[in-house]
Amino acid sequence: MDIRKPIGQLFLLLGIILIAWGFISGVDPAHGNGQNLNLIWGSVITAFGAVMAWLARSAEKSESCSTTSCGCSKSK
Amino acid sequence: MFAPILMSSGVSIHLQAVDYIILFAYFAFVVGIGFSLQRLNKTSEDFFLSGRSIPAWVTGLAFLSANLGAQEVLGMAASGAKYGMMTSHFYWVGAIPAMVFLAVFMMPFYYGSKARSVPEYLKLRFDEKTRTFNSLSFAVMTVFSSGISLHALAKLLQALLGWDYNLSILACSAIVLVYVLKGGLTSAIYNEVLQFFMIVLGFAPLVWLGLRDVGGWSGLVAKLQEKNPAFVHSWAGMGTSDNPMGVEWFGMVFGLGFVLSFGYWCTDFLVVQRAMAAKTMGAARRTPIIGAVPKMLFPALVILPGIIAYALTATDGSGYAIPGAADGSPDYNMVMPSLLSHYLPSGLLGLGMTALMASFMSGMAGNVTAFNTVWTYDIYQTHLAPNREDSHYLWMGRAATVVGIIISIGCAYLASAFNNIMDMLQLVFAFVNAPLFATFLLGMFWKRATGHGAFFGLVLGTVGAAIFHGLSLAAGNTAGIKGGWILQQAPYTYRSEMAQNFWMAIVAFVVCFTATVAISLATKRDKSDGELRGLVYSLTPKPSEEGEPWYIRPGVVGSIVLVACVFLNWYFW
Repeated sequence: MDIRKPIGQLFLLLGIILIAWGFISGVDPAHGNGQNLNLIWGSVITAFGAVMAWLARSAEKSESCSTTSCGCSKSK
Repeated sequence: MFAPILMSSGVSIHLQAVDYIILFAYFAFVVGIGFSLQRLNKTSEDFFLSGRSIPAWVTGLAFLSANLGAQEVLGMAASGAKYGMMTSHFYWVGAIPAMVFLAVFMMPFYYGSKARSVPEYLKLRFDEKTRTFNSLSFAVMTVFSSGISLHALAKLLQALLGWDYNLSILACSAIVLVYVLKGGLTSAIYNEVLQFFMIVLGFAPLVWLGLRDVGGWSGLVAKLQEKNPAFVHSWAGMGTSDNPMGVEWFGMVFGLGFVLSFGYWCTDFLVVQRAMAAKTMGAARRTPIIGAVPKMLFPALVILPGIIAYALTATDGSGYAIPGAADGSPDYNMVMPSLLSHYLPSGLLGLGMTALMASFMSGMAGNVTAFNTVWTYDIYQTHLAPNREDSHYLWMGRAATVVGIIISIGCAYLASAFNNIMDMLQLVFAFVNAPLFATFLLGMFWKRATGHGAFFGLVLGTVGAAIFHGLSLAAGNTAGIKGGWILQQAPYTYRSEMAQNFWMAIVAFVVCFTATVAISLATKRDKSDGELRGLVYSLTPKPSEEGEPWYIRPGVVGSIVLVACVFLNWYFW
């Protein structure tokens, strides 16, 4: 199993939860000097999750053409 | 490693539904990973060593993460608030050099000898009694550490969130049990990687918001210069022990930077096991170096918040102050949780709390996986049931996981009922650990070292540490468990307990080193050059790096890491 896959899925999920919560709850007056922190940081986490998921996917694709073992993006 | 025993404190955190959703989502993933790895665990080697099949970046992050328990996160933030930049010594002196040394010089013996554990290397290099001494002390130590971190976690959840102590203990150990039992070491390693990203992404907003609050890095430095200039320097005050830590440069460099740090990073099976799971010798050697890079940057994530907390406390009207304990003194261990509740809105707060819980649990899982391996291979297979079929040892590994966790729970309750028993045990572990690196150093680099020399050297080093402890005392402590139990008027006094510990390590190392050399020279060699091939530096062919690009050669990359580390020490001088 390529660990990047569950990492990607988890952080996509957490990122989306945070973004959704950012929209629902709006700006928290007690935190973040008027910025919507959940929205900002949720986007960062979603982007990280997307990159991981994409790396896992492209490794999976290249693996189907060769017989390299899982996980290593540098395998030819 | 020391566990902060948390007192009830004024900080409390109220989690909302969204925070619980994040918490449950994370732990559902953790358990899910364990289940999806179940089918891969067919042999004992799969279960205990991940079938030696994991790529280096994964083992590298796990190597780092196995050590990055919550005690470290809470403790380093606490230390940052208490000592400032000097805390960076625990990274740039107390970790990076040893990690590079392990990669470049020691990994070839661990991985190349096909030893399945660190104690097993001692058996191959020396003899059975040395291995048994090390494996027994290590096995006891790991279950107790896991119990102590379980206790600390439950105590923290009780204080912060008002959760039930018993329920927290049960729920957390059940999660660890399920994912280690199902997925073995691979599951523990994968979850450590997950936890690594969780910690980085969970705590980074804290650093961002905190720095913004104090006017960026330059604002922080200006504030500290004004309030307490010692806080911005790592080395400048260390000419003598007249500094907040009470440690002078020699005790720091030799005690922490050499004896304790190399003793931990290069010989503790908990971390070395991660590198042993790598799929090739090259990957095993790259593991500690890959771990060293984030390790070098971690002070920004765990120490900096503590320093920011100090600066905010020193600023009138900042709206934040370091929480106080019941007796009115600052409760440094609560710095990190109090910053979380100060800066993060619900949502991000759930993320931060999940990261904190995750680090406690993966620390526990790390201990459990190291314990079940040493128990099964080095104690059970060696002394109790040799020559059984592999499936039997796989079964025993699973049984040891269950029993290890049950003992951990017992230790957690022991810790909550009898605080001083745990202090005593940690002290005994400190005695046993202090001389270890001398044994490995001589074993790996001096072919004349014998089994008798190693064993009695270790015993004498341990005794030396205990005697030194009985004759020394730190300022402000009374004779007893803190030292001075041999002579009330201790002849050796130190400004701080930290200095006393560093010097105890130095004494233990010197005693063990000298005794091992003397006894080895007085006893006959018990292993021929042929038998020591692959176990001793001078008798082992150097691993070939021909044709490998420079950026994956441990020597080259390790040197780059060391140069960067020297630069950081210089820059924050």
